[in-house]
Amino acid sequence: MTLPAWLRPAPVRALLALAAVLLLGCIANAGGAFFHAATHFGLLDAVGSAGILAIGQCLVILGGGIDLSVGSVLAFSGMAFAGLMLEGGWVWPLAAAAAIAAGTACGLLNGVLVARARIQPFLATLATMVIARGLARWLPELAGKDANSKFLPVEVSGPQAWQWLAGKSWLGLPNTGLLFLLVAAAATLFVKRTVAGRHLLAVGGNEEAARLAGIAVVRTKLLAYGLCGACSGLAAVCWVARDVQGNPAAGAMFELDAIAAVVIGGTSLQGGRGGIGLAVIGLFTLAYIDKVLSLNAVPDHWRLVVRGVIILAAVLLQERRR
Amino acid sequence: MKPTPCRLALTPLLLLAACDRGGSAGPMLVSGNGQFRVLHIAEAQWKGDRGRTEMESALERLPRIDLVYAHNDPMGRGAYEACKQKGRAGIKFVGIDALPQEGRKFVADGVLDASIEYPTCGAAAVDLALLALHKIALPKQLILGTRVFTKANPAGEPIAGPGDVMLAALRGEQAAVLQQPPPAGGKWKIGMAQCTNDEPWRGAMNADIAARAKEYPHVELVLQSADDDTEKQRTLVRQFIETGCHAILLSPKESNALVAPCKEAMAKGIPVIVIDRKLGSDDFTCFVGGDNLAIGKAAGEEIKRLLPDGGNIVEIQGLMTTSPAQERHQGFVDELQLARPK
Repeated sequence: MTLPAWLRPAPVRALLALAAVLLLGCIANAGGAFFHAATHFGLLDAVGSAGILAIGQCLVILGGGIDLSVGSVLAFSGMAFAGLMLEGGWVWPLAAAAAIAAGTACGLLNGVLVARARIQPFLATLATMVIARGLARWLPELAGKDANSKFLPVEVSGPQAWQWLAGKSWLGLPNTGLLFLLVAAAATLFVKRTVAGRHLLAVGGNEEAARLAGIAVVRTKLLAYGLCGACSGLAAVCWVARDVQGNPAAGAMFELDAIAAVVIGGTSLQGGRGGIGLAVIGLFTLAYIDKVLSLNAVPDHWRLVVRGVIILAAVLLQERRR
Repeated sequence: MKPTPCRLALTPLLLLAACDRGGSAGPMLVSGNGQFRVLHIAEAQWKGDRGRTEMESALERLPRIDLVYAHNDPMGRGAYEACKQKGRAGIKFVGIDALPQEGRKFVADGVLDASIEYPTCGAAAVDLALLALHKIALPKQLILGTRVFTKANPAGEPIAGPGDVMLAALRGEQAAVLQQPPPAGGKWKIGMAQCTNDEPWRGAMNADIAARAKEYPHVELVLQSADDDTEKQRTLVRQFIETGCHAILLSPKESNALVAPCKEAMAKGIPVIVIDRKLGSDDFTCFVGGDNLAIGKAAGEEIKRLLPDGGNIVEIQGLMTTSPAQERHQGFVDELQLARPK
């Protein structure tokens, strides 16, 4: 049995899964709540950080790797951001830059471990995941507080910059959501239009062939992991603003959501096949499942089952007939 | 099985069966007199950000909400942020835990209308250990009460539990004993095996224990965490025995797994004070803990005070596979006499 021709292109299949979830939302619309624009703007806001994480993850997966550390790196960078602003008195642009730099450093460490030391990506990033979590929990001690404590702002909703970032501006659109879409657009351009992006796909598709073709494999992988780390740092800044605190326990299991979004979109875990746009569709598919379930106040045990079923259905949809 | 469009079309229909609540805003729980209606119940697993996203959905669905009951303070604050973002005013918030840097601050800032304290029992545990070291007879179990923090009462209105009365009596009668160093001279060495330092409430317990120990010049405290690892906690207790601790404080990660090392300690005459989570046997000197059911009831009482004419409530729950969340829900249900609508 083959799929009909119109179902074969990956974007069509990814959109079909999203459409199925949206249809579900239209039917179980919670007294019309699903038809309000505010509901969808709210979702775009809630999805911002997770989206930026998924884009970083997608770059790594396209290059044939995987990054389990993104959630912990988010916690570490977020603690750095909140700590520098609240305890160190840094202005927000400097603190944000430092957080992104911290994320990038973690990403580059992943890159060195994978590309230079030739450790399996799963294991290398597992190690970084544990290390980054430990560092996130230690940072408060560096600021003269108890280890494991949170950085809580004095103001109710945090400093001005946080309120702006977690708020909405243009056309009532959430700033974090817009930032996510901006990052997605930039990453798409990077993958599709730049030489480095092409190299990334080539390395992910067939590393040996890429090497023989004269592509600098090590540098390409370093770039992918570094960019993923930078995305985690940026996502951390957005997350801290939304969560109104630096929390060393933040981001637990976020790596799995990021990987799920990438895979549900139809990017192959083997690398080389897929794209940023697909990951964005996958992310919205996951986010809309959560939204529909939450709008209908479905008990959590059913949510887990439904979520799993949809992930399976989407993955089945992605299965290629060879 | 290969996906055909037909099979795929079935998926949303199956899911619909799980999701469909009629879509209407009918109450999920209602009080006997119909005054209190719980319109939305969502599990946010103790996380502030989940509290926020769940509250957003509740606000999108429900035109009128009067009060949010959150099983902990960070989820309550998340719900507050959601209301602020969506421009919805006039909603009251009740949270639980009342940690100094979280719930109590949120109340002082006007974020929460009330926060109900979940006692860390830290100071009580240190005192109980000292009393046990002087062979004072202790009750097997001390259940401490709570305090309700509101803007009108920032110091907290105490609601005494059965254990508070006993503890106050013991502290009064044995005030001199508490100040006595070991008969052989030197200091009392007390080991504390915390199950994890990961949660803010555990951090507050550690701080309370450390602060109390510091008040006694004749006490040396060794505070260690098992990092959420049962085996490590077993090792910690045995290590305390081997390194000559006079008394052991323990907040077990798992009730049954910690029985063996506690038995060993008790056999050597080392008193064991168990905090917050119960031990699976009788091999301890005294248990001290809070009562989440009573706390849920206190929250319900506070809700009655905040909404004298009743109203629409959103409940944001902790992780419902854990007993604190189950009891905080049950106490609230009992106090407001809530039931599923017929």
